[in-house]
Amino acid sequence: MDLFLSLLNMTVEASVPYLLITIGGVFVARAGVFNISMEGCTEFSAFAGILFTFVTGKIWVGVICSILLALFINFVFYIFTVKLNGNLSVVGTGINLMAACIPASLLSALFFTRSNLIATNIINPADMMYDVPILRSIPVLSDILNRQTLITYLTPFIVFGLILVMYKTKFGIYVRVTGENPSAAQAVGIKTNRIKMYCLLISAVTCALAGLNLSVEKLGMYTINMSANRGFICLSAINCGRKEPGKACIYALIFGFVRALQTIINNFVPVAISSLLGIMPYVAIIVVLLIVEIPNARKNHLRCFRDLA
Amino acid sequence: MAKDKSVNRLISIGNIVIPLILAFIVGSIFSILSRCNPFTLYGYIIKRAFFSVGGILNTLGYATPIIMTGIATAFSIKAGIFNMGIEGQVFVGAFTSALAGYMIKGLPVFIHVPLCLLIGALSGALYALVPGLLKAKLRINEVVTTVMMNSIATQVTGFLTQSYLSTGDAYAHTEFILESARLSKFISKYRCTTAIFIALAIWLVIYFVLKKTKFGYEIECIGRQWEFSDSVGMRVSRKVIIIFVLGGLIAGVAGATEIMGVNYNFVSTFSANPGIGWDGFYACILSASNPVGILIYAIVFGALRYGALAAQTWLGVPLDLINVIKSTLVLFGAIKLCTVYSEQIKGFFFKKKAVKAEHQAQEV
Repeated sequence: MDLFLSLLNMTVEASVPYLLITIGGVFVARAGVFNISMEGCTEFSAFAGILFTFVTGKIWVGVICSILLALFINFVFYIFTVKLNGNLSVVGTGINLMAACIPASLLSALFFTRSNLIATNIINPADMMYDVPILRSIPVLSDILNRQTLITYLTPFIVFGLILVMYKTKFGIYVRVTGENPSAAQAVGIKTNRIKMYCLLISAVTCALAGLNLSVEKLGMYTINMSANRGFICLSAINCGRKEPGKACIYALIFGFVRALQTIINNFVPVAISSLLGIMPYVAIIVVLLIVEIPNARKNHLRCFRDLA
Repeated sequence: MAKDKSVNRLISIGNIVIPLILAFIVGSIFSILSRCNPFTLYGYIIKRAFFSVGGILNTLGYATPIIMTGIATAFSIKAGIFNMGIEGQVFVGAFTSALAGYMIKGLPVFIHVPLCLLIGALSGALYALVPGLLKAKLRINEVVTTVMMNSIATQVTGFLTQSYLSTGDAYAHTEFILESARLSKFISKYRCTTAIFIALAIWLVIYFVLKKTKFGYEIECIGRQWEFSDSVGMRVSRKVIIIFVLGGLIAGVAGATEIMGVNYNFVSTFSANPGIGWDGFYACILSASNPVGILIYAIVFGALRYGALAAQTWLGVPLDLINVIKSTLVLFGAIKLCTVYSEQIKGFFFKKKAVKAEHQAQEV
């Protein structure tokens, strides 16, 4: 029972970045932009959060700088793809590749290490956990939900807020129309480019929060390749959920659960095998994609002439 | 009209030159951050990579796998498929050929070497079959699956090298391959091996296939409009699988030659930072999957890789700096600035003519 509770606790903790990246990515995907640079954006914001915290000694500076950097990256993505007609995948790959090497080269240029930047003298990860009095008094829930970080508590509100925005506001309708039929949207006077920009900026903020959750809140340090393909995992969560925010978030939770399961199992197996367990999330994604897509296999068959006959 | 043509050529040259300039500016900023004069660095890299026999051989040695991975990527990019799994397939091919190199004993060289290459190629192809089938039959986005498969390949091969196949040394590696499975080097000190002939042969074949055969034409069609290609009777899903498998085949050979020519054993860092698969991907993207461009970029990247390694030891500049330059090239190479502003550029060149024509029109 204890194990099960700690598994759930770990799931809550591990799902936060997935949920955040997914819910922002859904907006971008709905607006008809295929954005694979979420990975790079998360990595950059995780790095910037720690870097600026370390340099200035104040956490809030790190947080603000990281969000600004994420906004800047997605704005660059917007300019390059929407305004200058760059190929979405190439620009996205470019940003991802930059995210893989710029932190490393900055670290080795400024701090003479290549692997990590530790700011635990400024950030105490234990202090980042908040004890909520109401939760503490409820027996089972306190084990699962209490003593989490601030962004963890914010995540459900962000997710539900953005789902409401998607389905209950004018902006949400504009986003959906932009993705489904851009020319119709333009014909009724919706500025599709601007809508795409707003979606990318929303995604930037959520990616930044995910990155901050990974680096600043949980560990107080940055290590190379911190986002560990989370951007791509969330991309597949969005695809599995057919770009619907609710469903996509459920898939994000599943992937978070697998990640938590991996962490838990890790404690019970020899060290040699634990390195093999690292493939669990990736295998899980391919299996989930398979399960989701197999029922649609027949629909995918596209033979126009045969259908007409 | 002739002028129009020359302006078009200017535009296409500008599309290549502007990203280069921007990338080198960004590279310079990072090189100043690492306390090194950028011009010293660039000069040093060029000097080390091209101005000696050893330098050229090393450059070619680093370029060999990149030629293969680049051409492997070119297939899929031409067909509009973003196959990012070349790196994983390189790992699988390298791993299996390293195993075949020491486990199969007692064969003469002229059988053992092709056998190892074949095993590497086939395992790479098998590994590529998975995302290929997923893409062709279920329309699952290939970017996600191939990136996941890359992580799986690196982790599984790393795990096997560490546990079951380790030799008990301080760093994890498999046993050295036998003498009979090794590709010979031109000069034993330098990196270039006979694998370069394999790479060039593959390059020639693929060049021919892409430019002169029905299959190459169909790939191009699928890249432009796959729904149309499907409805006029090209079997798109079958072609997609073939594209993935061929890419995996070539990637497997690339990994195998790297082990059989250079490393002689499998270590999980043999293609690190950023990996020969990724270098091929960069080369392919930057040259817009033009085979000649891939060859040129592969040699440039080989030079950069060797020069950067030399610079790391002698100038203390981190290797990541070169990756920063490369990734900036990819980012700025994605946008064709001169094409976007082609009207303005043409307007700039034809201004006088246009004004003159206007005057004539007014006079009439």
